[in-house]
Amino acid sequence: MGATLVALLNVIGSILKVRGQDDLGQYARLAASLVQRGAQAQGEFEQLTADLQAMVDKGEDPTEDQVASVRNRRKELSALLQASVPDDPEDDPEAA
Amino acid sequence: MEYNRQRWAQVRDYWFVLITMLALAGCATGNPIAIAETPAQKAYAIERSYNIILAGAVELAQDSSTPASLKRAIGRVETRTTPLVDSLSAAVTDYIVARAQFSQGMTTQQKLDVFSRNLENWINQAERALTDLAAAIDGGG
Repeated sequence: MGATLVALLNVIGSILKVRGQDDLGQYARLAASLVQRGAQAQGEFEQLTADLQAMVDKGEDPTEDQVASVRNRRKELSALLQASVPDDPEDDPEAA
Repeated sequence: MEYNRQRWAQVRDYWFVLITMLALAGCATGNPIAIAETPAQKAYAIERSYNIILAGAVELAQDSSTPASLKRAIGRVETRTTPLVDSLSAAVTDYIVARAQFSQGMTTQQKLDVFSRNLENWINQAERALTDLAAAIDGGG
């Protein structure tokens, strides 16, 4: 169902672009990417839930290594995010 | 003419919010934070949940179809929320070390309680950070 919705939104985005309504097409493509990301995140949350359940069942806490690994991943993601954020407001026609 | 343009922009935004809500509804199944029993498990669940949401934010920021204003809004929120989660990470490490020392008789219950309360404090703040970043991705900024 998710894949169909993504395909449909991408098609809508392309049609709107062809018809010269690319601002709307941009929203359709963004929505498609969010739907896709939502499905992927659902899988990651399910994996995390399973890991946590195993930890709870064993009565264990995370190790220092596990905590450090999550922290390092966050550092990488934070750097990637900030590198992808445009810093010049003049590049943004919506803000102008 | 101007009224029509504004009205159409409103319809467009409502439509976008609806689609976004549908997309994010997929993330709502299962709640790893709710099943955690100890403070350290809860903190770990929050940190990993935050990373999942942050990965989504990175994809949005790298997507050419994402409006620059939304990218900047997400970036602003992230500069505020990630340091809070980093503090949680430091607090959970301190707690794990203190608990290990306590089990070896190297520290007192009173000192362990201090680390535990500190961890609980950062858990509360990091949970809010998690919600804030998710709201920014949802377009709220």
